[in-house]
Amino acid sequence: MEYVEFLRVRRTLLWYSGILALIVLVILTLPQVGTINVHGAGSSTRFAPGAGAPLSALATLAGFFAAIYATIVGASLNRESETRDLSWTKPLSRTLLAVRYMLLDLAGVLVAFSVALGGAAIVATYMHFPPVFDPQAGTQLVLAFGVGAMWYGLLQALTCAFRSGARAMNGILWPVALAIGGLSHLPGPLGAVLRLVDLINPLHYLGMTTSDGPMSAEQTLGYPMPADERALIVWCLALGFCAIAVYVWPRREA
Amino acid sequence: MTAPPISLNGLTKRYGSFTAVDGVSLDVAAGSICGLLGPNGAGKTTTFKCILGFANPSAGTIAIEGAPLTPATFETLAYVPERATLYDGLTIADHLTLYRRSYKNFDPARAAELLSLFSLDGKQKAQKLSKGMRTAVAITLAFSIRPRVLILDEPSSGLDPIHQRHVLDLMIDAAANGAAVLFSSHQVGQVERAADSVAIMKSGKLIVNSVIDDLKSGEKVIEAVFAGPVPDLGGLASDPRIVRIEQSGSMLRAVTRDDSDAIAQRIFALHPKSIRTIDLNLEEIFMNAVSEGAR
Repeated sequence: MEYVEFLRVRRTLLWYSGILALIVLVILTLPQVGTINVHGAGSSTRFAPGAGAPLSALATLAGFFAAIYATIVGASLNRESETRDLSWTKPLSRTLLAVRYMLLDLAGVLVAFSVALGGAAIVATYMHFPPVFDPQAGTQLVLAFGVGAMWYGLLQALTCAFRSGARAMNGILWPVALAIGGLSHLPGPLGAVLRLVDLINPLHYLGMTTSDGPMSAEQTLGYPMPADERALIVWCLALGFCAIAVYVWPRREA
Repeated sequence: MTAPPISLNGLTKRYGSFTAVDGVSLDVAAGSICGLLGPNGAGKTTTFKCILGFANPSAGTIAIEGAPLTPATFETLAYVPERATLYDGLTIADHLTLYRRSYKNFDPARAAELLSLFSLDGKQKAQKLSKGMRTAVAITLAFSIRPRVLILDEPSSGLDPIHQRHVLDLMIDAAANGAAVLFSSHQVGQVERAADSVAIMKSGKLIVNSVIDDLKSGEKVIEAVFAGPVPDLGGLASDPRIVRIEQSGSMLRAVTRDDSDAIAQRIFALHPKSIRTIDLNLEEIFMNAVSEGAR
């Protein structure tokens, strides 16, 4: 039945890539810009044409799109409930089945991340900001892909124990994640709770570090954290969420 | 002695304070067909869920071919659910390909034969199929792996009478080749035609578990017609050998469990105009069993 998941992943990737290609085409028809200013809290980075776009910045953008893709495929185990009469009567352990589904889905997230990165590079090049491999690029690539993987894992962990509700979870997770990020700077106990919840919010970690220093949500929220530490946390959480789903799903009652 | 292919021992499944299946013990031998009957909510589907590992029993044991269920069990165990599950985006042929990849025993020639039997076109997408056609695909898939154990939950659901007959024939053929078949149905006639034994569930409990012929020979109906209204029956109604008594105008109908001759003698003593003893059919046995608590 992994073949079915493979078909789902392939179909979703085709749609996703098509939409991204359309966005890129639209941007390519727009007039080229001159200087780009990227503002972070307490810092401002200026990009002039020909200076090159740091790969870490493009990776951050790609990570955002990978998270969007992960939203679409992230509840595959929950969706499998509808066809469990087929998949759970296969001569294959359910744990192994869940692992295979996740590996396929995560491969899809990686492809989605790469497609977004390629699209961002094309747009940047067209705008005379050819991508340059900055010192933080390697770490940022790992981090940004990890955010997509963490989003995927979070959705699996939240939905795998239920028979339905995947679509509802897909719908509310983004607004909730954005709201928590936005409100976590509130003073008092509510802010403290939201800051705690924000620790499992993938978007919380999706910042980037330029040569001018960190430029991330954490900095705004008072959690300065180097990219390599964020990457480590993101991957630990992503794998942890996936492990929860792999443990829970096979034990769920139909 | 080899263990029965399907063996339930004290199977119990509780959901909170509600007991869906209550201490069910049932064996289905190789080469036999057991029909599981029961009113809606009797616990038939929950029993199947437990057998298949979809639900964890609260108590009791389940053995398939003498061993607990493992993924490898499904190499030889086929299941047809009440509402056939298919991948809507795939064609019937894609489903067969999936099965060919997943099951060592998958027999493509058998699958083609069954597609033809049910007049199915492999190119059709599952989402375009009617309920009956989906059931037919599920049955095709199940029988294509040449299973030794078959669990079928309402296997003729949505099928036309001709295809319903095909399903019964397939079950009989599978049993003749040594498979153990456990199927549920609301159509008592199907059970009577295909099954060797019947298990009747009510409120989670197994209230009848017997070979059908034994059941039929054990229970009889005595029908008596009187010239006027049925006279006073005296202590007849409380005779433990009588399962149920029905009166309608001048007609008396007594369902007996055993010693029907003696009961007939007692009724004959009331001077009826006519009296006859007839064998029960399975439907009457089923009705008696499920209504016994209300007697």
